[in-house]
Amino acid sequence: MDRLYKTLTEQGYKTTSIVGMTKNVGKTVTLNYLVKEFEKSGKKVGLLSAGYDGERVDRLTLKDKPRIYAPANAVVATAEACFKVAEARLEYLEASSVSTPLGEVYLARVLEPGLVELAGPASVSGLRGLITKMYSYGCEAVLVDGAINRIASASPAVSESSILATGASLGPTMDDVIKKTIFRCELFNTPEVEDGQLLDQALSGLNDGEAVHLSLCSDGYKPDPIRAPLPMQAGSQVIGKCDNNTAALVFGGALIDGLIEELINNFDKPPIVIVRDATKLFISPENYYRFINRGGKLRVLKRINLAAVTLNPTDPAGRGYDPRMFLEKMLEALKPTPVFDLVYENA
Amino acid sequence: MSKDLSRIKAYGDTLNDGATQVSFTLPVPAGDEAREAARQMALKMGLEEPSITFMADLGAGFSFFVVYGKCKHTVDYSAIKIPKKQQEILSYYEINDLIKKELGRKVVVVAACTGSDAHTVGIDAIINMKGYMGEYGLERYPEIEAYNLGSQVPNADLLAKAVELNADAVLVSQVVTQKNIHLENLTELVELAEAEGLRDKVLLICGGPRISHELAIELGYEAGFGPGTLPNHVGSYIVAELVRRKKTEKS
Repeated sequence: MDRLYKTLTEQGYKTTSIVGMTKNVGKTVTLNYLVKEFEKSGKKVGLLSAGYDGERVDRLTLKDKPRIYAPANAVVATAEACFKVAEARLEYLEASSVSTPLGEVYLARVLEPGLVELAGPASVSGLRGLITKMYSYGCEAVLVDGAINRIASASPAVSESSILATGASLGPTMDDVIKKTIFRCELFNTPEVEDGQLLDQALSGLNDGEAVHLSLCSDGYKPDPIRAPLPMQAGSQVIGKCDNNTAALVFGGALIDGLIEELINNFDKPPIVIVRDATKLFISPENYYRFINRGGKLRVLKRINLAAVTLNPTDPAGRGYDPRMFLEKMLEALKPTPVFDLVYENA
Repeated sequence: MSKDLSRIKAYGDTLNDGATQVSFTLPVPAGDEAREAARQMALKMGLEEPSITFMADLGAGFSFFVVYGKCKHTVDYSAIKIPKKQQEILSYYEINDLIKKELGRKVVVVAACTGSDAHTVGIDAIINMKGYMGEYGLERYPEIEAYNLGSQVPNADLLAKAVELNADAVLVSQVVTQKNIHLENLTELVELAEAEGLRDKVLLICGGPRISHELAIELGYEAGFGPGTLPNHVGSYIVAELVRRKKTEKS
């Protein structure tokens, strides 16, 4: 059995998102590869996109891009206008409440296999709604295609596992590409809160506020939730509450550079910082490593299962790396995460 | 001669003559060598019998050319299928009337050029009262409260302002270049809005010279507007979508 496919199925993951470090790193190649594996295994798969892809040419560079192959019996979600021009023969199932500039998003069953363009919802809630419907139509697995460098679909609120696509177009040198990929993987692999009592108090605190200050007390932790119109603003207030008894800070929204800089500047040993999941981290590598080197601990309420990283050693401008060297260096750098160059390894 | 739509060519005087005009700059000083370089460049572009009709020295070792030639390439028009959806364009008066009738409250729009971008021409044309090409900007609409935050606004500040003003729509203007920095700034706003729990509460709309509806979906925006967009195009979209959402919520 194919290794990448096995990686996903053996762990029992049903919904998998494919996200990319940037454009042209091979998200669609990875998706098509997995679709073929699902087709071979006879499993009924659902396909949707967190944006728009599968177009014939890249909209900015005008280079040919691979389109998405939809096997017979698959369920696809795509906007009305794409539904009408699909090469695969589609049977309309139902319309969703999601609207895009290319029309409402429809669910359709593939009667005869062929190529499709997938245009999907702009929001996580839209994705979740469509995925639920796909399972109700009998899908055994769902693949969510990412768009550009957007990673919201990797949130555990959407998918149980994620594949990260990276490649030469990410940076000027191989070292730079590797460095940026390591950083993203490190963020994705941010561990969950280990202490069960701390986790419970963090979760209960978030019911009453957008950010929570957790202090140590005689029988464990005491949550002090802060309300604000925007979670980022509550985050700023919660830092102001820190004292000697502070055990951890919970940010219900985004952790941005401004917040982590405040922590680095005000504390020799910063408190544990907890976010909902790694898609809420909007921090630069510089600030991240400063925080970690200061003894800071970053934790998530729910972790992303990074199943694999896939590589595209060439970029559309024509620059590229030796596929074997690139693969070997990435394998070494990202250990123990499985790394694949699906084109090179299957040539 | 009948048209063969599977092999169309550029048209000049007669069908399929391929007549094409291009202009470009080369990083060499004007002269006989530069003229020959421009001719070879045109040949590589697929222009047969190129003639350099204009050459001007731009100084500092650059020169500019206008070249005519016969483009040999053909395109299969009959095989092109483009997914598209026509949006209904309303007038200034129709938009205001629709807001009064269907929404019964003012629509709040917050606009900015974000990140490192300081190109405000586009957003000013859409928002500022005097408008553009004879169409009033959104500030002039009695039923719309429009706020133009100006240029180089950080994404986090834009979202904070949107929450403070209870905005229905956030308009972001961005010059998207080959370097992906502007794209990544646009996607960061979407991801930040998602992380902050705002994604379903506000319409995110982007605009700029390289932006289309298709690119907007890819970026995670509700809509995108490119060159030639007038304020009422944006207004029509915002109102139609707000009305649609109001109706879906009810049902």
